[in-house]
Parts: sequence; structure tokens; C-alpha cells
Amino acid sequence: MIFNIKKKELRTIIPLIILIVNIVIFSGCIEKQQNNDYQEEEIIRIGIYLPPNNNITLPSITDFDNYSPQIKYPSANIYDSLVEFDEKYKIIPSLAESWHNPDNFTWRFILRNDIKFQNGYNFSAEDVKYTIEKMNNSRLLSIIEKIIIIDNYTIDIITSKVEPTFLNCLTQLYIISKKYHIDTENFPPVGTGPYMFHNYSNGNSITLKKYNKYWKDDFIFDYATFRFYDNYEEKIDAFNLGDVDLIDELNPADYDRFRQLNDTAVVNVSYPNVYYISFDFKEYNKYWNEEVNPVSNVSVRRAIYYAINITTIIEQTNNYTIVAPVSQLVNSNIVGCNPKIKRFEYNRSKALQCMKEAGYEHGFEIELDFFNTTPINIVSSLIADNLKEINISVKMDNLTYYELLQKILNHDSSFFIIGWQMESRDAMEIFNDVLSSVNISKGYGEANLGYYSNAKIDNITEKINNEINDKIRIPLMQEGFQIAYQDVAYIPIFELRSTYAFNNRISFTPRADTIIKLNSISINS
Amino acid sequence: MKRYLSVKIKLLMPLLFILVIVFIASSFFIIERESNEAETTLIENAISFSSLSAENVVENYDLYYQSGFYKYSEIIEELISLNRDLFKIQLIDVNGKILFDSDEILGGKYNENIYHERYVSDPELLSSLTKSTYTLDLNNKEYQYFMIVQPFIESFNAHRYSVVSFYSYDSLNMEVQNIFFEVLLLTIVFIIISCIMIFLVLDRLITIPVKKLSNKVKVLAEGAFDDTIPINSNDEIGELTSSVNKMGKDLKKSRERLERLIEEKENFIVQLSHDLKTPLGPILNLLKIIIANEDDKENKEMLDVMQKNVFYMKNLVNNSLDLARLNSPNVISNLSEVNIKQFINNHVKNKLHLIKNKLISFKNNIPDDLTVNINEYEFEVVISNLIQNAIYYNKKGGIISVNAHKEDGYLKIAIKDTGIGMTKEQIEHAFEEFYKADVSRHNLSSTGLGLSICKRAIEKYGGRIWIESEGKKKGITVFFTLPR
Repeated sequence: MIFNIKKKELRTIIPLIILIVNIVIFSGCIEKQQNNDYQEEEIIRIGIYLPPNNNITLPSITDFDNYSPQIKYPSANIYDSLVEFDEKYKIIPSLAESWHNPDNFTWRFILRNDIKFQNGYNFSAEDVKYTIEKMNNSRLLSIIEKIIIIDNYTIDIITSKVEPTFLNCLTQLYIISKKYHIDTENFPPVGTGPYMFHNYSNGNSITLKKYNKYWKDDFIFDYATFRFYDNYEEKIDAFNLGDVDLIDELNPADYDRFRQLNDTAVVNVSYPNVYYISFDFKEYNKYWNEEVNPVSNVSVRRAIYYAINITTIIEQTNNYTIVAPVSQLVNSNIVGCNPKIKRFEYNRSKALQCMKEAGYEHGFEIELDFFNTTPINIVSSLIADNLKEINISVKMDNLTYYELLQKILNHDSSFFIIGWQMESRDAMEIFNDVLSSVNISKGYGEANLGYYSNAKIDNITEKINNEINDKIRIPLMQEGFQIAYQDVAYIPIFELRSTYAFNNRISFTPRADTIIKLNSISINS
Repeated sequence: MKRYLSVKIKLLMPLLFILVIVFIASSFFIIERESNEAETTLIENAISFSSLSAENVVENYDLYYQSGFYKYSEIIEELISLNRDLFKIQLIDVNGKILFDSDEILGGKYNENIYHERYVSDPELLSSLTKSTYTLDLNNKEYQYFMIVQPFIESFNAHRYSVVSFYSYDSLNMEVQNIFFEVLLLTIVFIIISCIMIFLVLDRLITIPVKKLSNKVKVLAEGAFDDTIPINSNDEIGELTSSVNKMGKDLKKSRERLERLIEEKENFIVQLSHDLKTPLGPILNLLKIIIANEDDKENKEMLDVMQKNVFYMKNLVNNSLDLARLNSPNVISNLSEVNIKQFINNHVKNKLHLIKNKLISFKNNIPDDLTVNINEYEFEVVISNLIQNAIYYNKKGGIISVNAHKEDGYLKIAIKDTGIGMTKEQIEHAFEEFYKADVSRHNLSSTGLGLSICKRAIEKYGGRIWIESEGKKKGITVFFTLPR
């Protein structure tokens, strides 16, 4: 992972700040629990890249609704949701063994009646209702009108309108125990998933222990350790030394090198994570005093788009990670992608022409906010070089993860580079979160950090949220992407391919959502 | 018993062989027919499935392939899972360009920008893309599948795409294998049941009647001609049974006639012997007187010859009477307890002059207390003949020894001489009537009936008589047994 922002991460920030007080206390407690009692057991060790300064510590794991790297991999194995994605984003039953719709707004879930939480508490509809009420997802909360418990194992969730991607939203709604959460604030974390929280070590690893009474598959590994590395070389060294069995995010050189080795396998999967340039669309902000914010002008945005030499950027970036150019925030794997949209060609004269049309023939100076990590810093420099050719002087504002996060959350950036990772295979989330005008009450535009606003897109957003027929929705979304393209609501840079290397002790099949679930890993005979 | 079983098996084996051939041929026919039917069904189902699914493949391709590939993958994956034989789907345009290959579900969406456009290389498949539904069979050693090329005709009758579905023969092979084993099992069961039934039918129709016939023939051989076998069938066995029954009746008649003739013969011989014997007494007496009174030497010699011949005739008549008497079932003998040693000694006394003339030593080794319940006359005939032969054929200065002992409920008596002995051939024929072992015995002192009379007399009492000899000039021993 290089850096990307998720709407849920945005929501995580505030709880993080509150919980940071507890870090020392909890980490100290957990250290004492660490022991080597599983040395003789089957254990899998997974090395995960962690962005620097993103040291989310133990207490945040109790936040079942947190999707930071340290949390999302363990959580995906500790908790279950009502429904889940399979490895190709297909919705499959989980804690809900089936569901049906008595009317267009009611989702009735029939829950499994043989499930126990890892601490022995029974799972029931009360836990589902409690989890939804406690979750930190305003978008989902905004569309849920009512929750009715029919009986212990039947629950109705009634939406305020027809919600085509409602089940997608539920895939990452990890169910917690009401009683346990009330008693303990969910610490240590307890779910119904295949693995239990075991320990947390030195702020850089989390170990899970197999839950032997898991209701579904029998998992192979008795213990699983996720180790987090904020230094790429350190992660590669750990893999070379056999400290970890599986690592993610390889640069192309290492990917090719590991591919040549007999005792190592590599695999890659399309990663629904697009990096893009975005803007502050407001005409006036504090950086321009009384002057008009130049990037609020669509011609300036087009000029920037024309000025970017994507070929060079891809070539340079591929020295560090595998990327491919994109023309929109989703690729063709995602429902709603518009295959007709092509990138603005790199054309300096057209860029200058646009600048001239916008009245910025002589250019201007602007600050580019980005997360200071490779290769984003290199991409930022290349972009700055490109823009210099059209008289835009870019002031490089290399920030830490949290500095960038704080800045963009406060809508305090005019020009920034950010990433978006899809949570589902439907582009509606882009419209709801990124392109729609900010409307907190409806849960729209939570990641619309530059206050982009287009009535047509808002209209399309409303329509696709109330339409379940893909034959109608897809053209609408494609039209929406076309409008955003014309508006230059963002300038897509590239999409990632998620890469993994693993030793010959195991086999691994990556998932499209890139979450590492331990049933994706098997031991070679 | 073994013989009957072998007849059954002999009959069963060719039938079994024919049955196996017939069943195997039938089985292969059934397997072939069922296999062909299963293959036809598979292909028909595949064509139907391809036809029904083509719209789904094409319309969802238009909708999702460029905008929601994961969704399209899911749809195709579910489509493939609906038909266990279907393992791959390709969407190809009429120019042969492969637009979608279900291998992309696993390997990820095909990137034409990197790997270039894909085209069909097989000319037959290429030409079939513009035809109506077409089946391309690739059932050979290398490939075990077939393809259905299903054109998709759109609502405005345009034909842009064809859906090529790949169906495996695996399930068909499995089904054929199951059919094979089922038919094989049924064939074996049928053959076993058929064998048992044929065995039972053969037993009832052939073996049992043949066995009855055989038993009847055995009974016939033992002289019981009264039994008849019921005729239960009008086939060859029935005919044979009828013939055997008729043969039994005929044999019975023949035997009765023969017995009548024998009786008549015996009566005739007895009558004839009596008639012959009556004048022989006076003739002999008169001949004695004539010889005594005749002085002429030449006449006397002729009269001696005459006397010898009359004696021979008398012996012959007496022996014939004895033999007839012994052969006659009507003659009832009076039995009395006879001390064997004493009896033989008394008899030898009458022949002492003969024994002394040949300087023969006679040894009677029989225990004193051995007795036998027998008709004295008949025992006298036996002993007389045997002692007489022992004297007559003994060498000068020879020995005659008589022994007897009890053995298995019988008395076994042996009369041994040191005479001329007998060959095996002579021993074999010795008890035949009028048999004379050699030329030297063709004299007037032997009638050739002695041993025959002895045999009849001994066998009348349930005994047995036989001769043992070590060969010529080594004497013989005559053994006979009598029940105690």
C-alpha cells in the first residue's frame, strides 16, 4: 500500500485520537501475554506493508468498524458479517444463511442459529441490531430507516429507499456481541470468525489463534501473525530470512526476482485502488485570499490534465510498484465503468491553450499536498515538472499520513494526490462518496474533499440509488463518469496491481478485495 | 454317480459357452446402444443449453464485460455450474475474434492492450461461426470434448456473435462405465441363474430319466425283468425307456423259455441217462463173464476194449446224472453233519490200490474235529473227483496232501498234488463242462465233467472252488470253501 484514503478511514480519525490515550496501557498488558506456547503448532506469518507514521496501536482493534491496514486483515478473520464477498466480489451468505425481500424496502435476514461468539456468547438478531446502531457508518445509517427483530434469528432491515448495493454495504459490517461490547467495550476483540485475538507485540504485529468451534470451514493454521513493516526493505529482508511466509506489495524488480526463484511464488491481482489528483472546487479559499481559486476553473483543470505525461509517470512508478494508467476512478471490473472514456492525451500546446482560455496564460503557483512516500513523492515531482511547462509553479507539500489526512478532512487543500479503494464491485460508491455534492444528512459526498458539485451528477446519484435494474443504472453511471470527465472532477493517475510473494510451504490465492483471509492460504503437501 | 455328473457337465458346458457368447454379444449391443443414446442425449442437451444460454452470455457481455467484469464473471460462472458437462464458454464474433473466454474468470480479464487481440485459429471453428448451430466433435485421444457453436441472432435479426460452448465427455464416459459395469453384473447374474436353471432342467429332463434307465438296465442285468420304468416323455428318452421296458419283457420271456428248455434238457438227460444206465449193468456183468470164459487172446483183448468203453459210458452216464441233479433246482438234498477228515480217509481207503500202484504218499492234515453240514453224496462226488484227479495226474512216488481250516465263516479245504501241474490257460477253462486240458487226458478214464460237477456242488452251498498251480510239472492245489 502506498497511501489511499477511504471514507471509513476518515471516520476512524476521531476515535483514534480519543483512544490514543489508552495505547500505552493496552500494549503493556498485551506484552505480558506474549509467549511461545505455539511454537510446535502450525503457524502462518504474513508481512504487511504499513505506511510510515500510521502506527495504529492496539486499542483500535476493538473498533470493529475500522479499516486501517493493521485492523482490516485481523478483523476480516476475527469477525463475520451477515453476508460476505467471495474472492471475486460475489455476495455469499455468512451469518445470514438466507435473505429475502417482502417489499422493495425490507431486507429480511434469516440468521444462523448455531453460532457462538468466541467467548461462548450466543449470536442472535439482537447483536445484529446493536452492531448496526453502534457502527460508525453514517451512509449506511442514513439509508436504514428501521430495524425490526422478528425473532431471535430473523431480522428485518428496512431502508428508506430502494438500495441496490445494500448487501455490499453489509459485507464489512462485522458483527459484535451486544452483551460483550456493553461489558468490555469489545476488548479484547471478540467475534464469531475463524480466529481469535491472541496477542499484540511491540506495536508491529498481531497474532490470532484459531477458534476451534468455528461454524464454517476448518482452518489450517493454529496461529496467524500479521507483521507490519513501514520499511519496504525490512519487509523483503524478513521474507528472505524466512521470518514471514507471505508478503504483499512488491516492487516490479522484486516481483520479477522472486518469480525466478524455485522456492518462492508470486501472484498478482487487480487491486481496486486508483490514485488521482483532486482539487478544491470552491472559487474562494484561504490560499487565494481575494483571488479566485484557479483550479476551480474547469479550463485550468483540463490544462493540468493535458500537461501530465502519464507515460513517464507510469514508467517511473513501475520501478517501485506495478501500476497501469486509468481513465476514471474504476476499472472495467467494476459495474458502471465507462469504457468509452479515454485519458486526455499528453499535449502541452492544448494545455497552454486551456490556460490561456482560463486567463492564466502566465500561470500561477499552487501547493500540491501529498503523502511523502515512494513513489507518490516521485509522481508528485514528475507532475510538478509537467506543470512547470505550462507555467504552473508547484510547491511540494510533502506530508505525513496524518497531516495529509487532517488537511483534506478539513477541506483545507486546493490540490492534492489521494487514492480510492473500492469496497464493492459497483461504482455507485464513487457517486455516493466522491462525486456527489456534500450532503451529510443523506450520507452523500463524504469523500468529496474539494466540494465538487454538479447537479447532473447529483441527479444521477439519486437515480442510481433508487434503481435496481443494471440496464438502467449502468448507462446512468457511465453518463455520470462522462460528466465528471468533462468537468475534470479528478485526474486519474494509475491503478495498482496488488502483488504477493510467498514461500513454497504454502499456496495463496489473492482476493479481488485484497483482504487476506486465512482460508485463502493452504499448506502444500 | 460321477458318470452322471459328467454327463450333466458335458451337456452344460456347450450350453454355458453358447450362453456366455450370447450374453456377451447382447451386452455389447446394449452397451453400444445405451452409449450412443447417452451421447445423443448429451449432445442434444448441450445444444439446448447452448441455445438457451446464448442470449444470457451475449446480452450480459454487452452490459457488463466493459463495465462490471466481476459481475459478468459471476454470471458466466453460474451458467457453467448449471451444466455439469459444460466447462468453458467463448464469445466470438463472426470475424473470429475472441471477445470473451471463461478462462478469464480465473486468470483475470484479458488485456488486449498488452496481449493483443485473440482470434480463432481452427479453420473449421472459424467457418462454423457464420453457420447455424454447429457441433464440433473433438473426441479423440488428445481431446475429450465437443463444442457447440451457437449463433446469437439479435432482435433485429443481426448475427454478430456466436457463443462457443465446450462440453466434456467425462460424464458420458462415467455413464458408459456405469452402464458397462451394470450390464456386466446383470450378465453374470443372468448367466449364473441360467446355468442353475439349465442344470435343473437337464437334471429333470435328461439326467434323472437316464439314471432311471441305467438303474433299470442294472436290475435287468441282475435278472429282475418285472420292473418297468414309467414313461414321462415322448422324446428320445421316452422312446429309449419304452425300448428298455420292452427289452425287459422280452428278456423275461426268453429267460422263462430258456429255463423251460433247460428243465426239459435236464429231464431228457436224466431220462436218457437212466435209460442208458439200465442196460449197462447187465452188459458189464455179462462182459466180465465172457472175458473170464474167453481163451482166445485176440478176442479177449477186443472184449477188454469193449469193457473199458462200457465203463467209460457208465461213468459218463453217472456224471451226467450227477450234473443234471446238481443243475436241477427241484432236487432237494438231505444234509447231515460230516467229519471231513474221517470222510476223506474213508474215501481214500477205497482208492488205496490206485495210490499204492503209483507209490503215492497221502497226507491228511485236516484237524479231527472239523465238520461240515452237507449232503454226503454230493460231498462224496466232490472228494472223489478231486482225489481221483490228484492220484491220476500225480507222478509216480508223488504226494497228495489235504488241509482244511476255518476262514471268515467258511471252511477252506485244499487238496494238493505233485503231479503234472497246469498252465494259466488250463486253469481258466478247467471248470468248463467236457474240457480236457490236454491230449493225454483224452482217454476213457476221464469224462471232462468232474470239475464241472465239483463247481456246481460247491456253489450250490454258497462256496467257491479254484485251482492254483505254479506251472507245468509243479503240481496243483485245488481249493474250495464251504459255509460253516
